[in-house]
Amino acid sequence: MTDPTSSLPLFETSPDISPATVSSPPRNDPEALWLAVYLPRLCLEILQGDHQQVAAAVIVQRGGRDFIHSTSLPAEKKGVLQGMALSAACALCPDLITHPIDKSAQQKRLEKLADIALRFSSQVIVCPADALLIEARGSERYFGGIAAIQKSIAEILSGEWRHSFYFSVSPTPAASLLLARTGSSATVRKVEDLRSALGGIPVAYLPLDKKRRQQMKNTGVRVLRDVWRLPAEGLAKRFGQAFSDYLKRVLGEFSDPREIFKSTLFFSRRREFSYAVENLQFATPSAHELLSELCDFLREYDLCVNQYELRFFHERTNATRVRVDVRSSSRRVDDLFMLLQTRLETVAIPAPVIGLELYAENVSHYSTCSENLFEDLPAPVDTNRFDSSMDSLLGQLRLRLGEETLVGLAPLHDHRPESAQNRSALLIDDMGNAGCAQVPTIDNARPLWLLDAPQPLQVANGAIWYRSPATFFSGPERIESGWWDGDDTRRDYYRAVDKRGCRLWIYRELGGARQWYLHGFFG
Amino acid sequence: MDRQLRQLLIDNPQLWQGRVARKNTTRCIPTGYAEFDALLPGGGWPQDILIEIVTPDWGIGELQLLAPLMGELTRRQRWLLWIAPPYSPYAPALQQAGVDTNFVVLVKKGISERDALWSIEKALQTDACGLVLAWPGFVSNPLLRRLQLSAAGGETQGVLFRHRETKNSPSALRLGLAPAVGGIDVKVLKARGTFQQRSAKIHFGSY
Repeated sequence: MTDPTSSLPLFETSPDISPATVSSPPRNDPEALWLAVYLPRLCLEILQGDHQQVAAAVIVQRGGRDFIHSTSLPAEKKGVLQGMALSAACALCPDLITHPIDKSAQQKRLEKLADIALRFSSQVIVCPADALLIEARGSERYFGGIAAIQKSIAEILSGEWRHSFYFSVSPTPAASLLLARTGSSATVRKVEDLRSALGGIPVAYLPLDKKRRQQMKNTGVRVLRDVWRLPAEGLAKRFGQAFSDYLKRVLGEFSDPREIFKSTLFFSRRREFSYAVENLQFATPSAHELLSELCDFLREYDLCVNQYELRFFHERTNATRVRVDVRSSSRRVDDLFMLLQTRLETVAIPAPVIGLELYAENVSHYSTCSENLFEDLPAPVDTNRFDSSMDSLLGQLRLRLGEETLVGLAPLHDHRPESAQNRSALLIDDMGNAGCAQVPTIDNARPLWLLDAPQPLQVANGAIWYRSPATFFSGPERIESGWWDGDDTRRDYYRAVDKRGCRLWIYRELGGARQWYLHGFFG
Repeated sequence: MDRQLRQLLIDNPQLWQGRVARKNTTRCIPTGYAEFDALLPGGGWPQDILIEIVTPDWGIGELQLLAPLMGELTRRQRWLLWIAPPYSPYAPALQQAGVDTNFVVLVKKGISERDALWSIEKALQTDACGLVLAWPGFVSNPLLRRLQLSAAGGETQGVLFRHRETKNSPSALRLGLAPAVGGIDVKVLKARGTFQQRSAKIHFGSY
């Protein structure tokens, strides 16, 4: 399991000595025991395929040139080492397969493993690039000792995930990480024992930049024991305050607060059918069950879902994914099921369905709107009842007709008729009101129908024609406005009626061609 | 008359009792126009039914006829759903007519006939909307019957605007409109509770 000396830790930036880490006055939690899990070949292992048999390496760019970050065992046997330049590595091992480093994939894998580690402890810390810290003292008794915890984690890591790893336990996080990185699976229980336990670690494992490392080498410092022997005051001056603080954190003299990992919540449940279902109708009861489980999950964590995906699995073809956007913050199964049914009406499945999965990742905190506490009792007649069922009706309409076809109306304060109303997408807030400010009512009569674009009218035989000659009976109302935003309108509006009885709202432009237009109907 | 028979006649307003027009006990909302109230059996717009309004043209005053009903519904905080109207309803005018535009939802023109009919049916089935206004093209009688049943089931009134009357349409109230000076001529083509086809001229405030 251990091969301590072959891998030298390579730090581009020293992760443990970052100026952002706060060093507060000496205080350390005497009770905590940190189990560090170090994954030396993480960047290789997250790549697809089996890289233990092939000579492969992960390269990283520094200063415009490529260097080896991590190697597989066959490559190591050939002599490729970490930190080597790519050209040298290729000379030693001509059939070396290289991959660029993928930090985001590494982070994702670490977070997944942290999720798993949460089974063993309530405090898990993700150390970027390649390590996890698990607080083990709190779970020691429950799992029957730290060795048992280590064994369970080892089973998971080597079985399901096929990672190689090193463990170590110590009272401070920094010391655990350091020990794990050297590959010694040490268990240190008391803070006082740290100095002696860490004494034998070569200084190459310490997070230092190249200059300082060379400086140490020149001074004759080889292992940490030599560092302990150096006078403390001079340490900061020689190797930097940051290094001195780091050592204090390692020994537990300074506290080392780190960010605890919180897993992101998502919901995923599956149902398998014992036979292939051809008709989607027969799959909907299972979908109803999944939706009710989703609602329980949402209630438990006080969330509401914005979007979920229903996946239908087929035997030979890829899964059919149906995405459903949920606009209302309802957590009732019936509302969600009605939405789903509306959505499924337009879905055609290419092959018989053998399983269903409901996956909801897009969740947010539940913003309260007063729901009836006793859902079985008939709700008292109040406005909230209408608003929630209006919400679900609008949700169904949106799904079938499209988001843009639903608009709300609001009067605006503008003299120009076409700008005096706002047809916008429906904004309904939690209270069920479409938000718009109150605008005072205009005195002059306005037509109930407005044309989207004014229609030019012809003048013939001295009369305005809209399918038949129009007779005026009211007017003119002069509207001049809009000189400030380039949409200058200067019009005289009249009311007219044509032979067929339509009441027209006609205007004439005051400038330019003095053309007549029809703008609306007094319906 | 036998007591049971009398009770039967009282309980079922749909039973025609001859020329004597009985007081209709269906729930109604006042139309806002006195002559119109007198015209309709029940004294107002009947609830829970599908209303067909047949008008030769848009813009002769058909919306003005409904304006008091719309205003009353928005005062009761019920929603108005307009499905694919031929032109855009104008918010300042609605405001002048007493309609609270906060409760207006408009489905823009351009959706398919099937989608429009589906929306009408869905809206009629829920309790959410107070009034659904639609301008469908051709609707067959079986579909009209379905919409009428949906309207009867929920608490929503449905109004369909048509250009032509279909024979034997199953809707419970059918009105024919004709333009008139200073108002509009309304003829009751069909109403529950009466066989008479009466008409009256409704006066609007202005032309």
